[in-house]
Amino acid sequence: MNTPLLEVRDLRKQFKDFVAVDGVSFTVPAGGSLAVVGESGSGKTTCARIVTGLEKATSGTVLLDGAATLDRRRRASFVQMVFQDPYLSLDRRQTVSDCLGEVLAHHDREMDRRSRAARIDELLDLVGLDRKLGESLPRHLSGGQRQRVAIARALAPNPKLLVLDEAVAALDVSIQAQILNLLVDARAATGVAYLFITHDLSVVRHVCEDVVVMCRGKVVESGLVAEVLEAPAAAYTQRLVASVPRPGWVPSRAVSRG
Amino acid sequence: MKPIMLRTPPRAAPVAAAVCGLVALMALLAPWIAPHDPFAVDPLNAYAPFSGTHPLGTDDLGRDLLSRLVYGARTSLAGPLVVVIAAGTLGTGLAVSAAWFGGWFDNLVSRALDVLFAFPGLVLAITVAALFGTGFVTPVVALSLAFVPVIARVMRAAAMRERNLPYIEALRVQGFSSLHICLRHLLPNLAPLLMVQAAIGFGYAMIDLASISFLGLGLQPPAADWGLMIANGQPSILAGFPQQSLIAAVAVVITVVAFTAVAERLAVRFGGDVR
Repeated sequence: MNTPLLEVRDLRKQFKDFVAVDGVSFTVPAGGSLAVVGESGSGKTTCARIVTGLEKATSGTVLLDGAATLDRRRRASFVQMVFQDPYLSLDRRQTVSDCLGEVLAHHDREMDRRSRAARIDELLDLVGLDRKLGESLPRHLSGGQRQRVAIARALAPNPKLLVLDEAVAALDVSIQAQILNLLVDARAATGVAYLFITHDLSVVRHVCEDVVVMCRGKVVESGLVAEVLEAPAAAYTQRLVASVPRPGWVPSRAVSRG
Repeated sequence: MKPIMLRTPPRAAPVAAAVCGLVALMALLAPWIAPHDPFAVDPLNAYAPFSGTHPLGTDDLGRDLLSRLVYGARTSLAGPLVVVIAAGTLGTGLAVSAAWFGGWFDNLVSRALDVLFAFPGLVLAITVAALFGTGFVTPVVALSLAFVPVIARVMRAAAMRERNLPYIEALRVQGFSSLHICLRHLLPNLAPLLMVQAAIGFGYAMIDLASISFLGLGLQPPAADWGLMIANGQPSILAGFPQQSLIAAVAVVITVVAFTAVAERLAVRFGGDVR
């Protein structure tokens, strides 16, 4: 049996008296795409932060390519993350080229200047950004363009796994669609696997094959996207699916209630 | 040091910046632009009025006041400059370290700054000067220490905010070391705020150092220093010759107001924009 790219086993994270993640397990195969869905406060972002090393788990195991511990640089070249807010996820003083160049130089110190410039162009092409924007500062870019830069930066070290934490939530709908298409194309081009953290079920259908539904820190249901979202078994998932706005929709007061 | 509450009109800022530049140039070019030797005593020419030879007159020892004013700019600017550089470096270093490492280290630094903050800067500097001797170095070192908590508190708050921004987290996920992130990203993004703090602190340090010189605990005669000139001119005021104190006091006031106006403008220009 192939080793999964990411294996999360019985993960638990406690902040003082509050248990944010409680016994969560899931796997992401190489080249796969797993969505972690749930309402705000369900613990999905905490899981993502633990996977990327931004938080330490209280207990449980995170195996990246079968290994429990990787040094900082190896971990960075294996798993990368795209954040929710494109307005704050880039250094405001750094041009797009400098941002990408810094990451490339960090991960491959032997890469010469010319190769680096070529790779920057390649990354800009991959995320659909005009090469001329390489010299732009973040403040000269739109939200969608900034998120493309953030995706290019995350893809720069050729990671095997990309964690996308509500990566399209801060963008307006038309830009969301462009970024989602970009993600689908980038996955096809690079073979990168996605761990997609979102509360937006329509996004899940577009990008992911598998889904894990979280509620109050626990996994309540998991499986193929088509099965879980079309015929949810857990009551929470049913309410979550029912809460998606549609013609004639009457919102319930709270998804996680009783 | 108290927070600035001025409202500087935008058009005043270039004028203020020009004044700061002129004073700095005056200090740098003093040997070439001073019309006389600032230390040359000429008792026969004491209290000379404004004239072509002595544009600002002379003091009680017949020394040319314009030359002393020009040379006085050197020590009067050098003192505050050393204070803001030393306090800025130490304060920002402590602030960024505390914000970055957090936990017990942050608590330790914050409490230490609270203790240092409890001593008014001027009182601390006067006490240290009285204990360890007068001159240029002692009050400047004491005042630098007194300014550390003022700068560190503001910088720590800004560093805390900056440290939690997603771009810093993105750099951590990229595997950059803490040192790299702090030196290449955090500090450069805090630099505009540090500039504002330094410009504000410069004005206050100048007043404090002038006060220390005025009290006789700073530079000693015959040094040309604006605070000392104000003090030395005191007896002459009663004799009907207020020029020396007045000219030096006006120089201090104009320079402090100019630096404060520039600081105010910088604060408006750079304040709070993290995008």
